[in-house]
Amino acid sequence: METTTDKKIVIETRDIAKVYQDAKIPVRALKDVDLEIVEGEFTAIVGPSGSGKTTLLNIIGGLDNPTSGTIKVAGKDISKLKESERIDFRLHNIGFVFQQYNLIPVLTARENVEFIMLLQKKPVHEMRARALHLLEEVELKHKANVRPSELSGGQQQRVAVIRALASQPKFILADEPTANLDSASAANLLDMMARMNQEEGMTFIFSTHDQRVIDKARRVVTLEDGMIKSDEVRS
Amino acid sequence: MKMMATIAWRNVWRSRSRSLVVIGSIVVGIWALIFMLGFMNGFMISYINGAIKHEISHIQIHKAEFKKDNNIGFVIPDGMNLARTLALDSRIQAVSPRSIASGMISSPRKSGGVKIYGIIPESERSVTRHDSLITEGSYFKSNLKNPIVIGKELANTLKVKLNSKVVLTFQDRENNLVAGAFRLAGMLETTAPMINKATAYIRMEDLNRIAGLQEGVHEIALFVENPESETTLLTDLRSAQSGLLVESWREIAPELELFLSMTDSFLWVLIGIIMIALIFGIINTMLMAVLERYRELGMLMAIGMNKWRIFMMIVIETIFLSLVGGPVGILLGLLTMYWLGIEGIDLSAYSEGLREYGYSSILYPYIENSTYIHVAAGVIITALLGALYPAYKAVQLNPTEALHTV
Amino acid sequence: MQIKMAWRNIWRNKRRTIITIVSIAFAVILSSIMRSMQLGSYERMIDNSVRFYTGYIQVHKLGYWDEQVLDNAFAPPRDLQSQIESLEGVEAAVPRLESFALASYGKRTKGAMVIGMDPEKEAHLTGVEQKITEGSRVGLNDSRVLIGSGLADYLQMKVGDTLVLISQGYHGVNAAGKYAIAGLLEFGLPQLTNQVVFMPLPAAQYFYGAEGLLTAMAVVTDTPKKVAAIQEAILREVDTTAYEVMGWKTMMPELIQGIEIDNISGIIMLLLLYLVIGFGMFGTFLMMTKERLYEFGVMLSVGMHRSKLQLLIFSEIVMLAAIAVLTGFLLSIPLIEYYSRNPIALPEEYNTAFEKFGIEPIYAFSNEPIVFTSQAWVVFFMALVLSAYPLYKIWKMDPVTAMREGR
Repeated sequence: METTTDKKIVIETRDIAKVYQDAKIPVRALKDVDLEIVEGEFTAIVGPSGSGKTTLLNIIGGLDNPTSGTIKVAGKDISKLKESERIDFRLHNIGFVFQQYNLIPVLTARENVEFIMLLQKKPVHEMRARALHLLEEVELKHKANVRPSELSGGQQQRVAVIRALASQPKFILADEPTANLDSASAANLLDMMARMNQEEGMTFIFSTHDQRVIDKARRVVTLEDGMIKSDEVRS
Repeated sequence: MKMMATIAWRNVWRSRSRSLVVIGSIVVGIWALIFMLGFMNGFMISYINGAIKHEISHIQIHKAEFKKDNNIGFVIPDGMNLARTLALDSRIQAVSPRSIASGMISSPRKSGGVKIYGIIPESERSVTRHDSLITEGSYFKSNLKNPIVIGKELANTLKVKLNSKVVLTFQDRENNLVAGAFRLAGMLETTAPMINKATAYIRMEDLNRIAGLQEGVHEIALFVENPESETTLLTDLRSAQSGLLVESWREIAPELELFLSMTDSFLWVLIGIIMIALIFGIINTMLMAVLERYRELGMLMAIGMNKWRIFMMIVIETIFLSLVGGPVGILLGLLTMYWLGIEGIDLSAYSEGLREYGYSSILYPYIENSTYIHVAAGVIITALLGALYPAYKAVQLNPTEALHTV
Repeated sequence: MQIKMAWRNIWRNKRRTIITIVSIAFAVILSSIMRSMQLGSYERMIDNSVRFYTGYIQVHKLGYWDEQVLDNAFAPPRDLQSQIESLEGVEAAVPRLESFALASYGKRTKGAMVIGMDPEKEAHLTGVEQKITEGSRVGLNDSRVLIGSGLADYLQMKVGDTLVLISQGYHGVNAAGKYAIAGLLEFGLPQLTNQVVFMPLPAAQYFYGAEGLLTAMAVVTDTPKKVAAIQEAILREVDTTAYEVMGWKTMMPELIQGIEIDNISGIIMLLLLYLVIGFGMFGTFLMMTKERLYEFGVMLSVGMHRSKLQLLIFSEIVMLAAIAVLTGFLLSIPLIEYYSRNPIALPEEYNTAFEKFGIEPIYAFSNEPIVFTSQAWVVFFMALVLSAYPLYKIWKMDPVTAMREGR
């Protein structure tokens, strides 16, 4: 039998600090960040510019290293990984949805979804089937052989999400996924992601300014001046 | 892997103008190199051929001792028969047997040292074509007794005109000084200062009579039918005539070898320079292509495409560009060489000095078939080398910088 | 105002600008190197040919060159040699008395060219002493001679044997003499090796009954550029009714022809290089234009006149090209200067062919100013001409389409 405390910890950060040295004065972007994210969460990380939100996301996403502290994803300490190991880790464990430019412009929608599975060296037939299945789930099967330039913004983002899903990551990191969309598409996208979260149990972590997203989130972590100011769990 | 090739191929056509620029650079590079090689080749060949045609011929045969010590006694055993036999060899276009003596030529005003060739005009003509180089008089066509043909320069130095009398003095077989009087039948002008200033041509019958040589022959000059068969011909002759010294033009005129070396060594430098210019153009263009795709590359790295794959993507893209540019470049090069091979390039249009010199100023570029492949391969390799730095740059990108807009 | 804007525009996209500047600068350096090596090789060709025999300039009695007989020898004014040597750029004035003679040893006779010379001076010209393969050098007052090894072979002589020379001397006197062989010489040209006898000048003058006379005074310089100036200086010094002063161009016209042909082919090579460079440059401009389509579209929409925009872009290109060409120019100077003093050795395989002729197997570089300046100008000009593409695009573009395409 499963209780809430048995839920796996997906992300665990301890004492994360990040200091940037490129400017003449060292900038302390993050300080003493302890965060735990558990399987199945639908969490938004918010904060004004300069709050360290972007930095934290980079670290959670395995795109950057903390200056001190540890970060574990699915139990594995990724703070000490070498660059090539890190890339590989991201490939198999983390899904990304960016604000824009998610897709490879020269590949079709289906090929974009297949691409990530190809990188993971999944068998070909499995790949193709899964891609088409996912496209169908978001009602884009008819656009399978279409290039991103011929898709609307909302459609592109949807393909981005299923592309992330296709890699079967531990969690999906979405950085301002709705910022470039009109309200209808944004709502559409959000619903889709919520559905994925509920039906498949996929963990979603958002970085966002969009109130709609914040409203839909079940947990909101607020950053200010490099530290967690509040961590609100809603029912 | 196939996906990478697909992406690379589609990326090529994504930015048509950029790709055309790179393809164009490759085409231009290949064409320029082919033209250069063809030109320099043609240049070297025409220079060498000029010397071979009018001066030294392809192959010369002597008795070995004769070369060291031009003693009139060292005739080629049974020389005239050998000449006749060689004339029958289909690989040999023309044969000229000669008797040779060194001595002095004197006119009332002056004397000078000369090498005296006793020739058979019809044979000599077919090998050296000196009849086409006659500036005054004729090539042994007149009815003069004891005719002699010398270079125009020598005639000027001796202050003699046509029909003037000159005396040739040399040593006979017994080392006695013998002499003969000759009448100037013709003057010639070649590109060889030695011939123009210090050579005299008389009929073999006259030389041999005065020297007591009978049918003696010192030198047999051969003009081959096909220069490619020269090496095999040399080997055959050397084994057949083991007692004789058979030399090719390379051994006889080392300065031609020098000329070839000089031109050749320079050619490599030129090729290198053009390759560098080419590589720069490609680095430039591909670098811009990489910078253009900054965001996309960052995204790829973020979602988990490793550095090696990204590197290869750029490299494969350049390979495709080369594979398009390569054949086009070769084709253009082929066409140009074909057309120029017929029309030739008229150098004298650019230089008056050349025309006066009588130098064959129409240059026929020439290139061997294998060279096309070598050039194309070289250029493609250069293009790939040019892709290395941009590919490296692509891989150095930090995804976090590339991605975040905030 | 425009200029300021143009200047700032260039530095807006630092990376692109740097890349463009580097590639244009490199183009200048490459073409300068090519031209420098070409001119260097011609200079060396002239130098090598000239040092073979004639020297850069010769002073003779008027009429000698047309009629090279001993009777046209001249008595040099006492200080002619020092006068010439004091001229700027002159390495040496080399006196010669040349004529023909029959050389014999035992029963063998051959025509020979006798060159009466001053061994110390001759070293500057033909470098006689380096050509000695056997035996030793001769001094000015020696009564021995050096002969070509080919001639020695023919006469079957060794070092130490005595050569007999017979000829017709000055004003018809009989010339006859015996000379011991001090050494054998070998030249790259068989013609010389088979004919030549180098005799100390006083001995030669005595032999020919031409005491104190010379047939020629050859002049050698180590700065070929100065030849014309030296020739003029000599013309001013000597009595031109009695003497003629000839440059190598008159004495060896075939050399000019040879160099002319080389020069033309050299120019064709240079043109090919320009083609490759020009194409690369065109590519750069093409892409720069494409990249900035959006920006141009905006400027035109906002109300900038096309001609103004064209002027702006043109100014940018001019400045960019000027910086690049200047950089290339400044960089190529030390590079070429270095190599002109320290030429690059040829690859091994070419060595034998060259050394046979006593020519150094090197890649020579010329540091004539024209090498740098002409290339810099050409590349600069090319850039200006190629700028026609972006200007044309601006002229023809539709702002709205441009902004759409430029994303």
